[in-house]
Amino acid sequence: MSRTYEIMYLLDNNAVRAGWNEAKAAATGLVVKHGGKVLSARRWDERKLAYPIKQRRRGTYLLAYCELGPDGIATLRRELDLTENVLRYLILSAEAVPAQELELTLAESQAGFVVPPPPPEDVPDVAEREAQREEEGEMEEIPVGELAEEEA
Amino acid sequence: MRNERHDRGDRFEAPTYEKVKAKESDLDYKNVELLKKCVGGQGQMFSRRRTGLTAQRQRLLKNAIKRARHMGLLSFVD
Repeated sequence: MSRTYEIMYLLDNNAVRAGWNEAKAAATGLVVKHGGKVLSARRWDERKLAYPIKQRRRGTYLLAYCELGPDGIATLRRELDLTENVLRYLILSAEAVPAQELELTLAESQAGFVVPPPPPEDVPDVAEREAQREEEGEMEEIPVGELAEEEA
Repeated sequence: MRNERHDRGDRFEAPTYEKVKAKESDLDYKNVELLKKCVGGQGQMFSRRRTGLTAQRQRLLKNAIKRARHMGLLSFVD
């Protein structure tokens, strides 16, 4: 019996820069390859990652809803693990596809829809890092001063 | 050594926290803004006492935070 799943992909921005539609097709194509059906797929967001993943500081999220059998999930996971352009993925079972997702997928597939290209990687340069270190240094000094006052 | 605070009759007052208002459908890993309010400055999850959530909702919050961390939406440690 096939079930509905919510799949969130974290795609490499380098792949997205080469073409959003191609990157999306590659990600959703894997579901079809493992015997599934893609119900909706859309760009969720492009953002700075909370921590670097495979030396990437930014990434694009693709949110898809699919129908897939239990055997398909296992093989899909195995293939996603080996796919370089998918930095992370998360597969959850879903009750149904939210109506909003279908609308947004439709909006994205329209001809006039332009997916904004990802901004360049914002690797902090040396000066910025030093400024940050100084800031942290100042923060550490404050509690020391407070302690001294309390003791006095 | 005498406890001065005790002698003055001071009672321990539990700190009060702003409760997190969230429906069950809000406790999702995609709702990053809400999740950020439920973790501390170093990225640690807040306890139930701190969030004021029911046990069921705290569990949903826990799962949501862990999923968001896996996807690079939230940090493990800051």
